[in-house]
Amino acid sequence: MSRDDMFSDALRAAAAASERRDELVRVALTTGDELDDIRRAKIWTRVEDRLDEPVHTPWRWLLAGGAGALALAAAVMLVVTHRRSAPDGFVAPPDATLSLRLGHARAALVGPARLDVVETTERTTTVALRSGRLLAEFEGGEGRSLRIEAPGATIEIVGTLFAVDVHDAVTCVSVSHGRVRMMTFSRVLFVDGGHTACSDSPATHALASDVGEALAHHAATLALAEAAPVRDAPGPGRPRPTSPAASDPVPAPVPAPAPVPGPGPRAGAGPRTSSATASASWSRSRSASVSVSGPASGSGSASASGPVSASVSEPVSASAPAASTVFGDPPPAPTPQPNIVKPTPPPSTATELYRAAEAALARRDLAAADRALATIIDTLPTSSLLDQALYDRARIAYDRHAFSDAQHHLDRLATLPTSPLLEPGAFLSCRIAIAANDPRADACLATYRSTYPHSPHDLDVLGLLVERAFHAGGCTRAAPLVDELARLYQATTLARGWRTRCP
Amino acid sequence: MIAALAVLATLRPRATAHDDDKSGEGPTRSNAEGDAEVDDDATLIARHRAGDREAFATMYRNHAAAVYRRLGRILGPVPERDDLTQDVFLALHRALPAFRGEARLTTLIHRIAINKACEHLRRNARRPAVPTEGAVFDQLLSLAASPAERASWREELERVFACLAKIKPKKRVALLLRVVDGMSFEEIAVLVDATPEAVAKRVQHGQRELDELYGRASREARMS
Repeated sequence: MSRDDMFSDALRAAAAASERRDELVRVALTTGDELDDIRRAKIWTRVEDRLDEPVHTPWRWLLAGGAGALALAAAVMLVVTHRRSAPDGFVAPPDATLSLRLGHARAALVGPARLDVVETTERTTTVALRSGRLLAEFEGGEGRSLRIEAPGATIEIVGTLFAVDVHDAVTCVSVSHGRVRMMTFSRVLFVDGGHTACSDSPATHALASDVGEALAHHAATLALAEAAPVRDAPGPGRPRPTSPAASDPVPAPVPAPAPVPGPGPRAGAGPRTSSATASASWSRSRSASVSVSGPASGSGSASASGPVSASVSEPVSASAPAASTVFGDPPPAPTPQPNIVKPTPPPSTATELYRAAEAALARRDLAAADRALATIIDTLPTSSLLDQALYDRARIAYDRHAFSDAQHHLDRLATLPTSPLLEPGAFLSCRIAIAANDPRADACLATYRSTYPHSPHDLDVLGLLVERAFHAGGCTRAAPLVDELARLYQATTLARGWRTRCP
Repeated sequence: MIAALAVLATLRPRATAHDDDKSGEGPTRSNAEGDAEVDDDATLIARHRAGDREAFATMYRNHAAAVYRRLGRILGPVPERDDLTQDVFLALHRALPAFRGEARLTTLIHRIAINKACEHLRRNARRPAVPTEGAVFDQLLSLAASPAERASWREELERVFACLAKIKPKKRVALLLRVVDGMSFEEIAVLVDATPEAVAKRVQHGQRELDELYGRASREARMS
């Protein structure tokens, strides 16, 4: 090979590498860039709310800047103080389950177990599971993460239902749905739904039935708690997106008829047939109330001003050992305070439920939104919001890749005599068919175009048909559709792109 | 890597060059269509100035998807896109009273979007470069054949975003408008308020930096 040939080959290789990299950039930046209807509506709600805000003048900026600097300084002090403080921790004795709120995770520490809270910020929480089992449902969201340090492994979660077991310095992660990243000393692996991975084994295996049942039970418990009245529910008027910590408190406890003495490091069991609530502060900047339910009530709950809170369930007799021990900074002298919360009636109208769903969507709590929408569909089938609820549930299921559920909602939507959502529902149905690799996807798209010839999605649908035809049979097969695309939408870059590719 | 790209490319129903321009995303449209849009926009702006709130809502409906897409194509699938889209329309609302119609409304909106994206990039220069919107990453990676392949793709994507994050916002914007949207230097110049020559230079420098950064990152990854 001559020197010129070698030079040419090197140039060609460099150009090919550059092209591959550019293609990767293109794919990475164009995936998921579609603005769906729900998100579009949510953003508009926020824009509309702020349209009438006065324009800030410079002196106001100065004031705001000063206040911001002060707030920043205070926040830095708080963070520094917080980081210097000793970690808080929880111990669940045998035969007891400690319900925890770990930032955006609702967890259960199944005794015997011990968990330390290493660090918490508004969005991220880091805990260390020393031993035992932790069941948790973590609500994903913007920038949120939960990190669990365990013997031989570090687990990172951005939104899932999962369990972590620590026994004999071996850590196992079991995932019900979603995906978890597990880092051991030697590798990083992703554990998908229905699988378990352990720090001492290179392979994942199917979820054990007992863990699966425990997770299912945990999810059911959370669902029941969700169904309980929620404080700070959005009132009448437009719901505003709020931080999950503020808008999604843990379920309110049952009003306590009589407070029990302060728990101190040991939470005493309440009367056998009633539940009681008491508060205690134990760290510099954090307070929590621990509510203890007797065995008759079967469950407990807690509320906290800090990011971590706990409550105890004792499925054992009233004379069971101490339900939990909360340690960390030494608690001050216990000052029992009744913490009675009046239950707010749950949303009863379709509008209220839909607003609750919107608020849940705004804070990316898809499970809560789905439940509120399901309530509309199941209990208020004559509501004018039925079609909207069905469509939104389909969107949520589609986003979760639960295609059969999504299609089920859309099938029901299609049975409604009239709705403005029939057309977007039909489009979504085709997208589901595509995502699910259903061979009827092409027919679905063609039917859609004939049913809705003036649809605003027509360009998208035609683009999809061209794309699919091209993949199936190259330009020969795509040619008629490309012609149609060029004829109907000649000014679009989509048409120009396909015309260039298939002249 | 090539196989990964092939599968990744199939994840997006429409290829890059297929960007629909129904909401006037780019400055390239036929004259007739462009004139009609100018008329529509002029009417909307007039209605908005007359106090018709529905006019601004219509502008939002017409342009929200394009703004969201524009932000995504500069920043990647970052969760802040919603907030930035909101900021773009609030800025538009403030800018409209002084808008004298020298440019098309679409151009104004996209200029605002690009400015907001640049501000965001400058603000977050020290934060992790990899987008955290898990759903999009999951969508990108969901067709991987095996967990190992998924991990490899994820690393590849993280590397790309990490390299892009090291490029100055102005160069990054010009480069991405060129590479991702396939715009000409003249079209980019209109959107970033610069001369075509300056844009060409930014693209050239950005491309060179990306080549170097990506090559170095890939070498380091192979060595580790």
